[in-house]
Amino acid sequence: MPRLSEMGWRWRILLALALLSALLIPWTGDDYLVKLATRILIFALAASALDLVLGLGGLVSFGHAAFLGLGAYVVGIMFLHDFEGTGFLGLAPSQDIFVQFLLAALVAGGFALATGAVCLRTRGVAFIMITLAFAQMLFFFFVSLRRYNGEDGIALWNRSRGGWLELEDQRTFYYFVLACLVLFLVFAARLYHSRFGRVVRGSKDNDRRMRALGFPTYRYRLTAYLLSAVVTSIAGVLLANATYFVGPAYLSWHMSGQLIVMVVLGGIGTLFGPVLGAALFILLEEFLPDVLDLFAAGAGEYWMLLLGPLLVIVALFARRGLLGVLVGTGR
Amino acid sequence: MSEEVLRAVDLTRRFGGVIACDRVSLALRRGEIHALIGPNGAGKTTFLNLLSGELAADSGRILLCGRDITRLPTHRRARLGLARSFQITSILPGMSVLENVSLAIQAHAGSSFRFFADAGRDPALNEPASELLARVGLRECAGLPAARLAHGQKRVLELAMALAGDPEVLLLDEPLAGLGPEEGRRMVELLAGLRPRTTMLLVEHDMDAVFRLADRVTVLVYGRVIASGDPDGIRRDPEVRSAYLGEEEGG
Repeated sequence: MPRLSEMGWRWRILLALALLSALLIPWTGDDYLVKLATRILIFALAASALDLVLGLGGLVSFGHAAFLGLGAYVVGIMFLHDFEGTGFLGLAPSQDIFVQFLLAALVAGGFALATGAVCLRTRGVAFIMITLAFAQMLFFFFVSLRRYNGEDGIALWNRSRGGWLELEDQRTFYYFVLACLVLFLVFAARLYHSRFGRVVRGSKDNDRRMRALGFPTYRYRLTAYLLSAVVTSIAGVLLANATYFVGPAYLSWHMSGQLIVMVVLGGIGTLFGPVLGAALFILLEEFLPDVLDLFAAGAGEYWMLLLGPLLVIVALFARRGLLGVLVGTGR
Repeated sequence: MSEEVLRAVDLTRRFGGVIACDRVSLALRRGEIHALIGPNGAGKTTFLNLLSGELAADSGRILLCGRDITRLPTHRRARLGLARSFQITSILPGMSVLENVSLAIQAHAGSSFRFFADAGRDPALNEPASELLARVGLRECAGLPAARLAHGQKRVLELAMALAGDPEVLLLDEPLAGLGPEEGRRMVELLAGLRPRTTMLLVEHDMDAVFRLADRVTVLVYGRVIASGDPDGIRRDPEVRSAYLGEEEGG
């Protein structure tokens, strides 16, 4: 992850192309394409946020769906109460997206602090399993939560309101999501080279050495976990709005796994790579089944069979993922 | 009698039924190099880990400049001026040589909860880091990834990291391990040059280096101090000779 001023021409071309195509997509007027691109941007946000812990901190969180789901449920629960005209815990529900961002950040942040305080005392496989366990707890909690339709989830009749922004308009919503992603990426690029970012990266490299140097690394890793969770919950708020739906599936371990796959495909620890990973994953998910069906009817169902080997190839030969292939593996 | 910087009082640590450190007491005087020697498994590294806080002592007390640090975690002890090097080289291989040292400087330069400013371009971190690299002779390697250094250079880099923040006490766990004769000679010179500014506790198997550097020597056998004193006295001590030095004479 080089500084902007140190980026080679391949980096610059890639960034320019990505930004240009992201800006131009709504002008194709193709509603399906814009919706697909919106989905890509939202998962790009979640995957880059996951990379804060996965790539920078070396902490394989297998429970990030929990934060995505919490963000989405904030939207769903607020919608439902507003629709019914009932209060939530005695408070008036709000469909303002910025209020929902704040709520999502508080809820996901609280959950991250409580679970992270436990998870981060472990390492390696134990960490993976405990993050998974906490996310599954939340999954089953929402599945059994009758008040909010259990496993049927909540269908939304409208998007959250964005003040003077007309989010119901697909193009406006798309640019809103794009702005969120760009804002986060700029922040993440700064974070990477900041004092904080260096400590988190150092702790991944050699935690024992970092503690012997005088860093209370636990606190830094917990903060990174918290930041990552908050941003993932923001992506959850956006996801609910993109799909007009909130359900426990957003909290399932499949979702956590998909986010990890996106990070690995795009390039672990590169922050920008997961954006490419999310794009590649969603495009494959969308088009690979159709392509396979051309060869043999019904083969499309098994598109994951091709994703598997692709992941293996990336993991073996492209340690910096798709981004590494495109811009080179140099720093 | 000069001032004591670090004092361990009756430090004890058991692993199951084995007593790795048995009421070990030791005091470091300001500016001295104090060598801790003993056969393999004598508890030298355990003792260093008790001092640095990686292991908790079962009993006993540790005082750093008169302050009781027995219950403090590793990072707090480091911030108070207790630096160390590890037996197996411990650096940050994914970062550049300069970044390694400037992170060490950063540990002593205020809060690291700063999320925006570019630390890699902060002269307040980079300048002292460059000075340190120059002091240990690694200035030319500043931009290299630390993983690409030769083994000897990595040991020197680790020393430079430990020196950041001008520690009160430097705990060195076999700084000469794995070094060739020439590299070893340079490391000894480097350590000698740190005197008297830095007080050192040196665990080392290389007896030539120990007797060249040490002002005082403590001998640990089976977790117990069997002798402590000036190098000549230790060399003549019959108990030490039979327990430890005698084995070395053949080799």
